[in-house]
Amino acid sequence: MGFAELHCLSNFSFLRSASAAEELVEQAIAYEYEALAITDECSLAGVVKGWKAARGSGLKFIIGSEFHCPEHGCFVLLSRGQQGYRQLSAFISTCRGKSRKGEYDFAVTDLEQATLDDCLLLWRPASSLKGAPVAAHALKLKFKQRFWLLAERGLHGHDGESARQLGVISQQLDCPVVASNGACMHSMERLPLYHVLSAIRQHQPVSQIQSQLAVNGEQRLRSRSETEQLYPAAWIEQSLYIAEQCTFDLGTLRYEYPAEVVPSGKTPQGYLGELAAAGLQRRYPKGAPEAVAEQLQRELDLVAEMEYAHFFLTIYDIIDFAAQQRILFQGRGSAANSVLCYCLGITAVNPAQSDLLFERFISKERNEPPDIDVDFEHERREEVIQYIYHKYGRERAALTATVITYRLRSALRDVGKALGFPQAQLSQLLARLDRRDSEEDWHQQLQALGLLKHPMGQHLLDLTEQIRGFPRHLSQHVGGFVIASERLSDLVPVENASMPDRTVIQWDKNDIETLKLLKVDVLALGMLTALRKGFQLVEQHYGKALHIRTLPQEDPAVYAMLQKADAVGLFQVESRAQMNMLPRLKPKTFYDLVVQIAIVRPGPIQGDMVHPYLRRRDGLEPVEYPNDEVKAVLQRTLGVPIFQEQVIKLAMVAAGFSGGEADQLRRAMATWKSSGQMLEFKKRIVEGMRERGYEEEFALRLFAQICGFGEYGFPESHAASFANLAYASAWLKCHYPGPFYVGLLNSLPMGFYSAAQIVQDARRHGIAVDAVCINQSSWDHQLEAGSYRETIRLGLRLVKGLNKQAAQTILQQRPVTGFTSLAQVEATQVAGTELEALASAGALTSLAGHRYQARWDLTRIGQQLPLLATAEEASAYELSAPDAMSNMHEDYAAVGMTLGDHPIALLHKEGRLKNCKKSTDLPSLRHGQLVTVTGLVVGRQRPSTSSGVTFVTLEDETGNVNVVIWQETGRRQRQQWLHARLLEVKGTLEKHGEIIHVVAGRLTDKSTLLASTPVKSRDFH
Amino acid sequence: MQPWAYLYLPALQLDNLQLMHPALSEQAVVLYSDASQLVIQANGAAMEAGIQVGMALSDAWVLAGDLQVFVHKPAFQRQLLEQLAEQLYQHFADLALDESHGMWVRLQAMQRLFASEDAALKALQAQLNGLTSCIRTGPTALAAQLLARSPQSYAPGDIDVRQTSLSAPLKQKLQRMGLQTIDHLQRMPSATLGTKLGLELVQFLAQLHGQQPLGLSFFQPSGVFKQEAQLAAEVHNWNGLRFPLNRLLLGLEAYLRSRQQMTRCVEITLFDRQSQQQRVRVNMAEGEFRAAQFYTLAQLRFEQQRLSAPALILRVEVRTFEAMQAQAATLTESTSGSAAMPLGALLNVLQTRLGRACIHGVAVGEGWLPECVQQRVPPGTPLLKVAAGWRPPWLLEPQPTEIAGWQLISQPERLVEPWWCHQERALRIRDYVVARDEHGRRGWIYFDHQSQGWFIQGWLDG
Repeated sequence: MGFAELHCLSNFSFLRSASAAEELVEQAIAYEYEALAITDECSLAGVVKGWKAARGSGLKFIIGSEFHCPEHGCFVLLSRGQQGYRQLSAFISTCRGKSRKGEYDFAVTDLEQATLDDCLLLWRPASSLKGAPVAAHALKLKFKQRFWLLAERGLHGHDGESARQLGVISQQLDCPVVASNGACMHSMERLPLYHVLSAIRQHQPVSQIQSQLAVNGEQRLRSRSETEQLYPAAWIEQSLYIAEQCTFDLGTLRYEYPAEVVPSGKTPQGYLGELAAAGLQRRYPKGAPEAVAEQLQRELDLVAEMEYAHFFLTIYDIIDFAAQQRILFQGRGSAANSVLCYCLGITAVNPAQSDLLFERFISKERNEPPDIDVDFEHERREEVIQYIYHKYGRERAALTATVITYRLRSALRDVGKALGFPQAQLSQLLARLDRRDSEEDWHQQLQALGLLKHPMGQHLLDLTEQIRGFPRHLSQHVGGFVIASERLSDLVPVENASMPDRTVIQWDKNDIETLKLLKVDVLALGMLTALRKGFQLVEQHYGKALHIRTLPQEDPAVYAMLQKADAVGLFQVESRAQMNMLPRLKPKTFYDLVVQIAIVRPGPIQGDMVHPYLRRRDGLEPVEYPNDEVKAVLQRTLGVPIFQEQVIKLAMVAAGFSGGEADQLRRAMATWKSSGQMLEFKKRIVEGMRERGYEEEFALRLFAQICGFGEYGFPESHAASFANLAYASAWLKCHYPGPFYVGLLNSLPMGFYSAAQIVQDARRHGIAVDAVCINQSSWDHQLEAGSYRETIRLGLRLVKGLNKQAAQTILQQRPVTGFTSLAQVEATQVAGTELEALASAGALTSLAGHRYQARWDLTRIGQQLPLLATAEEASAYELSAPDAMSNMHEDYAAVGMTLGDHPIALLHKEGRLKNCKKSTDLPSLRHGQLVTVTGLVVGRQRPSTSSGVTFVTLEDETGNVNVVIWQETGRRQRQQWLHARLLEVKGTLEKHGEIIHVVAGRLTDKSTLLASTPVKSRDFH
Repeated sequence: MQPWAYLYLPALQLDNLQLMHPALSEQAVVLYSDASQLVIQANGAAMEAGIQVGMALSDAWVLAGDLQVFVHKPAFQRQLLEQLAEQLYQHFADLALDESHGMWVRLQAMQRLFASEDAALKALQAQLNGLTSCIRTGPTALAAQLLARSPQSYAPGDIDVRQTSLSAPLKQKLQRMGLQTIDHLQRMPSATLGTKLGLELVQFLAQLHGQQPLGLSFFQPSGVFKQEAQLAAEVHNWNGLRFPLNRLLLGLEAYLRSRQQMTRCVEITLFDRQSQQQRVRVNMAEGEFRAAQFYTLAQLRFEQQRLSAPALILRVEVRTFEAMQAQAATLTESTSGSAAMPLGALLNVLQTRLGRACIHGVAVGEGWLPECVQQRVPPGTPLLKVAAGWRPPWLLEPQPTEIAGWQLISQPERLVEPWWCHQERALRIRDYVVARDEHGRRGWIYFDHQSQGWFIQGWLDG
């Protein structure tokens, strides 16, 4: 006899099921079930994955959901047809909408009231019920022949009693019984994990909650023969009867684009064609190059064929709004760097300027929706989001979900706690796991730490492995919107996000991709804010209107600046690794910048592709290709694979992957760290390439590169969009440094550098910087562009402990001629603590002499002291002024930077640093020379790509010194550098062209020379 | 002679730990806060590796891979401080405890006993026996405390305001005005300070100058001996207890000797990870004060008895004392006249007659496996909850049985043994049924999937 399992939870019923939807489907196929329903608790989050796994297998996949009510038991709704699916989705959305994130609100009366005429209802009565309650009669009346009782046998002592009770209710309601296993596991072997999940849910070790754990592993899928032994045949037959009625297939779900982006009377394709033609005219006023025009036509044809016109029009509508509001934006993604997007204004990357393969912009073979992310100014993205909500309504637009899954560390921590490992022991294990290898060799690492000697050690290893990749909760995607033509909740359940007024759908981007729904990514980018502010300052002070798309292209002065690694504050090329690469790669064209951005990434570095590329670029190595196919893939990057799509293409042409296999590879790359799927591909790549005459070593390097791309997948189209912004920021810095720095400072926090480091860079570029002053500063930093030199007046936003509202109050009440006394400042009624913050920042120095005195004078009377109050006038007391060192400390404490002497300069003056070279001394010294340098530790980096090397950046009064600490040196002297704020390094100077660093020999923590921390290191692991 | 001394003991718990386990001194050891996961105390080897107090525990692991870590327990540290006070009280009358890491000694009161300040301090030092400490004297209690806590300072005026007990916001305020040391404050008119910065600062200065008392409450000995030792690792058997128990018993001997007292009952308590106790009473017919005797008796008790759970803390406690010279008068007393024998005495008699193994109590434990639910416990343990009524009241050790002789009369109940109790990966499954044997008795039998055999575990009929 056949069987259909109609009540089954996947691990998207968070911490309640120990199997993934795919595993359940696979097991159901193996047991030759007729059908399987995934019925997660008030959720459809797992159904797309289950449906995908069942597709083409012959197993009918049914969509349902369960709802709990402590008084009455568990209810399972199954969707019968498409209408039923929509009703179920809407019902889940209603239950979720009444509760905060991650919870739902359900009462039996909801089932009576909702429209569910195309859904079937199964009910497992609560064990406390001895007969059918009134509510059950009401449900029977409503659902009539669409109502069943669920019988689930757990092989418990009370099974007989439960069956008797079910019989009574069945008679009272005249309602058939259907057999189910109520599966939470695909196999009994998952029982330990099931227990651990329960323990995690209850925040207690398994041994402490035994009375609440499942006593056996019978909540699992059972083979048909087992099922037949446990249930009467009639109950099993009912499962088949129900399955037969459920005909809805997720693949038939039709998504309809919002209609309002097309003016009435026009077709979407026609309107898109019009916009594209107008854009082409605007972009090329003197006539477009023939190749570009032809390309546009090809793209439009493809869009028509794939019926994607609505998608482009939706994005166009959003960016059109942003353009009208003067919000800077930039599109990226495989489809963004097309002539079409260039003409629509979605991107400013000029197709004539780079050599991108535009055919790729929509993957016809993959039949996937086009991918366009649009970045907006980070401070103004909310305006765009509100526009979307306003235009389409909250019922039609919601954010995509991001599934937060268990990663190695979170898995170890939670499983460890559930097994009763003490917190300290877990901390020790986690601290001693090498971060860089942690996702790969963690089994060996933990074994090396002696974990297996612990009685629970093997369980910890096994269960951590099992739980990795399990979803933990749904979060909101950073900006991926799904917009529907009708109510979105008819398509997919919508629930509340943690942020107020945000809703999120229950599917993530992979689900959306599977079902070919349209997603619009509305993302935030700080650099766009900085550029817009910079451009405004240029217009204000120099009367020149600038825009990213109108900046002069291929400016040699800009590339000359980049080649010198003068890149502090520039988009994407400001990190230390990028700065090291700039003088080596010496970008001369836009495409060089595209390569520059893509090459300093884990993929090319792990694949050891950087040096071959540089050697070929310098003409030190011949550029050769084994055949024309490979040449077509790698020609633009001198035969060395740099971009993600190149390695995938290479897998096809060199290892013989089919289009479908290459697509699987691409997907596996994105998730391999959590799913571990990549190793399956290793053999196929290496063998495929060897068969085709490639050396194994090259094949292994290519595989390493593919792994390196992993989560940091970096396709050429992204690099091109980023390069455009990198160029724009470099152009602004090169030609209008004042506006550039002020724009950047007013957009913080963003990027790699603190305000202090940016200000120092500005001063090194000859720009004067004036301190925060109550009478001169505004909230933002300001540019004062005199005829002699540009000056930055630091703004009140820098003052720690002063909020914007208080600052505005002070500024509104500031007399035109400025405050003349502290009493006037106090009269603004701003809180004392805010004024004290201003005093310590030195902003009141012009009124009180020095910051200590200003703070003293502004300090309000503490407690009333009747006995002492009669004494002398308190404020008459004069405090001594701070010395240079104290001033420096106060500067850092109050505004995070100093405009006075640098701490290192002060220590030099006091004679406390001997024989130390400064940053500016280093270029004149010879390679290999022994040097001593001392500086504030402003950055520690341990990139995942370097073999145990730590990079430390020291700052002195003249600039930064890059220190390289090799693994062994670092390990031996860890205590000296790990927490040092002031570090002395004796080492060897290494010079390669303009790249200079000190390879550390002896390290000494000199932090005690500083009384307290002036600056906080920015550490990146 | 300065009127006050302050004894600062920044690492009392760690010192005690190392005293109990001398081998630890050679390794890097830290105590950490369970709540914040920060290092609270660190020994010399840890400091040498670069570990500092206040550092995150995860950083400490990075600096010393073989680091030994223990949880810092303020209550335990306070108890150690009280133990020390009990000991010092033999020599110094006026002691006042300061939270958990220091105490004041009023030297003024001891002028008649000690010729000089030096002599008094030497006597004090002699009692410390290897503890990390700093003793400073001062004209006021607060001055002595401040100096002891910042040993590099010569006078209270040198002390950085950050090292005082002033509230954090006030300390920050002072620093941000450049008022870095107590000297800065002392030079300012107190009325000005008061009106600007409040009562807290004025009171602090008044206490420092002795114009206002610190409000100390002086130590009163408790009259009982109670000392604890933290064990370096979980101890499973007697061997692991030997050294720390001996140290505690030596402490007891010193305590009794100094008071010219004896005892007939020493209570030894072991605490496991969940703070559950296992108590062992060492009773003696006659009063005793020698550590060696206590030790021998304790050894006899522990060799007979298994530890119920791995122990983490060991406590020795004596509540009843008698004078060292007194004879034990109770020897002549007899219990024979008592009609109602107390339960404890009855159980003792039964155990003596029938043997220890024959007498035990029953308790209902956590879990679902029958042997876990029904546990044998020492006789006299009160029954706190009752097991499900349909299960056999008494369990047997599972015995193999032939299924052929049984007639099954219930539906099967499947139980999986708690997998965390063993290291095997495979689950151990049992299917229980109620069955009738050929004599008509109802038994509770199960099929063990692993051994593929049937077992009987209990009878449902009396």
